Amino acid sequence: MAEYLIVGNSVAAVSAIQAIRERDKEGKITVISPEPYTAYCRPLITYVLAGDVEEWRLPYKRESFYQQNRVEVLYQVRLEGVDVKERKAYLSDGSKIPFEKLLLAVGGVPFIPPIENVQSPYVFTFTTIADMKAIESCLPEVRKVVVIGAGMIGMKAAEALKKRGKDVVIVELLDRILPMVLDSQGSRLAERALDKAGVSYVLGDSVVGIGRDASGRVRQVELKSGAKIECDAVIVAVGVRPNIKPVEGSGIEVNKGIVVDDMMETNVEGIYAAGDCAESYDLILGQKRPNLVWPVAYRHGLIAGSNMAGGRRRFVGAFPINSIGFFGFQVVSAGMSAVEEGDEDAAIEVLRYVDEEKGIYRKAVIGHNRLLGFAIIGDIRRAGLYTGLIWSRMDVSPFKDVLVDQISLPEAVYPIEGALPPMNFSSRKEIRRFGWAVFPYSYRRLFTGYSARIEEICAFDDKGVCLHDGVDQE
Amino acid sequence: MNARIKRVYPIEENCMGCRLCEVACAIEHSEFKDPLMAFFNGRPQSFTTVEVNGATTFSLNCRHCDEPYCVEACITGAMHKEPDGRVIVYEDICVGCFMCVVSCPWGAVNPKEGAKKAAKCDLCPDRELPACVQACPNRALVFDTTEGLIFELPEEEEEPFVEG
Repeated sequence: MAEYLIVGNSVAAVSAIQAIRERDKEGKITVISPEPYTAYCRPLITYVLAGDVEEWRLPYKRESFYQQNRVEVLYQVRLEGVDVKERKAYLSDGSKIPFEKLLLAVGGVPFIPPIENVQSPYVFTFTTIADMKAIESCLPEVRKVVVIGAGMIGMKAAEALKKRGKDVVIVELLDRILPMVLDSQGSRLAERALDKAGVSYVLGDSVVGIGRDASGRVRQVELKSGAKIECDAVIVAVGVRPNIKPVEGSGIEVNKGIVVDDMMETNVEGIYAAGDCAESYDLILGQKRPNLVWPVAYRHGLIAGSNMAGGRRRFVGAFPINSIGFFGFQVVSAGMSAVEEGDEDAAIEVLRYVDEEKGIYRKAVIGHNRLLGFAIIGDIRRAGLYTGLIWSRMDVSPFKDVLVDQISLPEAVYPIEGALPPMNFSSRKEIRRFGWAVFPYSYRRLFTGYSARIEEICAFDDKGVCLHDGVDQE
Repeated sequence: MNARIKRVYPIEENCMGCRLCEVACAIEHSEFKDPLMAFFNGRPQSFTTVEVNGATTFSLNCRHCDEPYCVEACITGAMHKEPDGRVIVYEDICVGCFMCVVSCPWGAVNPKEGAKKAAKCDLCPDRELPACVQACPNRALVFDTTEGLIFELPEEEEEPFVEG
C-alpha cells in the first residue's frame, strides 16, 4: 500500500487527491495544511472583503470531500524540511512523517519589498483568510489605505476597500495598471474606470518608507519621488513568489521555483511538485518558469497525482490565463499580453482593435506566426477562442488581418480541406484506419470530431512525431 | 473512466446555417420557454453559435470535454462535471470571475446576459433530446451518447465502396 503525502491544501492538492483516487482507491493519503481551513478559494477573499460574497461560500472543497476520498488532513502544520534519503518530511510541530510519494504543493508567498518599517501593524499582505480577517478587524479605524502594486491582488483589494467606503491610493512601480497584463494603451482604459470610481493612483513611483507616529500606527508612506501620502493602513501586493524555503538545501533542485520535469517530478524520484511553487514548462516561452495562476495549479496537481499513483501522464506545458474585473472594468488575457511593439525580439507583432467610446479593446501578440498572447477589455464574449489558438499553436498568418476585428473565429480558421475525410459519424472508421495521421491542425476538425485536450493532440505533428520535447517548434 | 459521454455533434456537411438551433436554445433557456415571451422579456441568450463561412457552416457549442478547461479554471467549484458527463455551472455559487470564459478554447462558455454569472450549454435537462437537436431541420446536429472516445469505438464492418 502506497503512502502519499501532500504538502499544501489548495487547488493543486485537491486535483491531485482526485487523480490519485482515480487510480488508487486504497493508498493512504495525508494532507498537510498550514491553515485551519479546508481547501478554499484564495481569489475569493477579495470578494468577501468587499461584501459581494458571504464567507460560507469560501470553501472550494468541504470536509465531506476529504472523508469521501479517505484523506487525513493535519491542520495548522507547516513543512520545515524534507529528508530525501530517509524519505521523511519534517513538520513545524516537531514530528516526522514518512512518505513513499511526496507532493510539494506549498504554494506561493507574497513578496515583501525592502521598504522601511514594512513590518508594522496596519501593514498587510492579502493572500489568505488570515490576512482578510486581519484587514477586516481593523477596518473601522481606517479611513485611507495605500495599496502598493497595481497587479491582480492590488486591484481587487483596492476595489474591495473602496466598496467598504475607504479612500484608496494605488502606488505602482511601473507606468501602467495591471502591468503583467496590459500595455499602456489598455491601461488607459483601466485608469478611466478608476477615475470614474474615485480611486487615485500613482504610477511609475514606488514606496520607500512607511512613516509611523509615536504609538506605532501607520501615518503616511513616503515615495521615491519624495512625495508623501497620508494613510492609516498599507496593503503590500507587489506579487507572489514560489515558496521554496521548505526544500532549500534538501537536494531537491530549486531555481525560481521547484524545478519539475514533464511528469511533474522533481530531480528526486518519487517527489513531485505542483501549483504555485513548481517551475514547469511554459508553452509560450519554451522554457521552464513558475506560472502562478489557478488553472495551471489544477493541471499540475492532476498530472502529478496520476503519476504518483502509477500513471504516466505528461504535462504538455501551460501559460498564464487571467480574468479580472474591477469597478465595471473587465479584462481577460492569456499568455504574453503586455508586450508592445519593439519590446523583446523583433519577430513579435502586435495587432490591436480599439473602440475607446465603448471601452472595447482587443490586442493580439503574434510571434513566428503563432498567437502568443492576447488581452481583451470590455466585451469578453467568446474570448476563449483566442486561448484555443494559443493552445493549438496554429499558424495564424492566413487570417492575421481579421484576428482582432471581431470575437468570432474568422472564416479562415475553418479552411476547407477537401482532401481530408470529414470528421463525422460516417468517417470515424477512417480515423481508425489512418490513425493520427489524418488529424489536421484545423480547429474545425478538432471540434467536430474529437473532444480531448487541444494541446495534447497538437503536441504531435502529422507524422506522429512529438513536437513537444522542449524543442523549438520553428 | 467516463460512463457515457454525452454531447451534441455538428455535421457540417448537413448544416445550411439557418440558425434555428440558436433560436431553439435561446427559447429553451428563457424563463417561459415561449418564443414571444422570451423575446419580450429581456435578451434571450443562445449557448450555441452557428459559425458561417460561405458554404461551410456548423453549429458550435459546448463539447462537455473529458477534462474540461472551464472546470479547471473555476475558482469556486461552480463549474463542475456531473457523473453523467455533463459540464454544468451552479449559478448560485458562480461569482462571475469569468475565468471559464477565457479558458474555454471553443468559446462555448460566456457571460450570462444581464448578470455576473457564467452561462453555458446544459444539454437541456428538462428534455429527452436537446432543443437544438430537435430544432435542426437538416439533421446537422446529432446527440451522441456513444461510450468512450472515437478511437475506442468497436470495430465495424467496412461499408462496401459504391462508385458513382
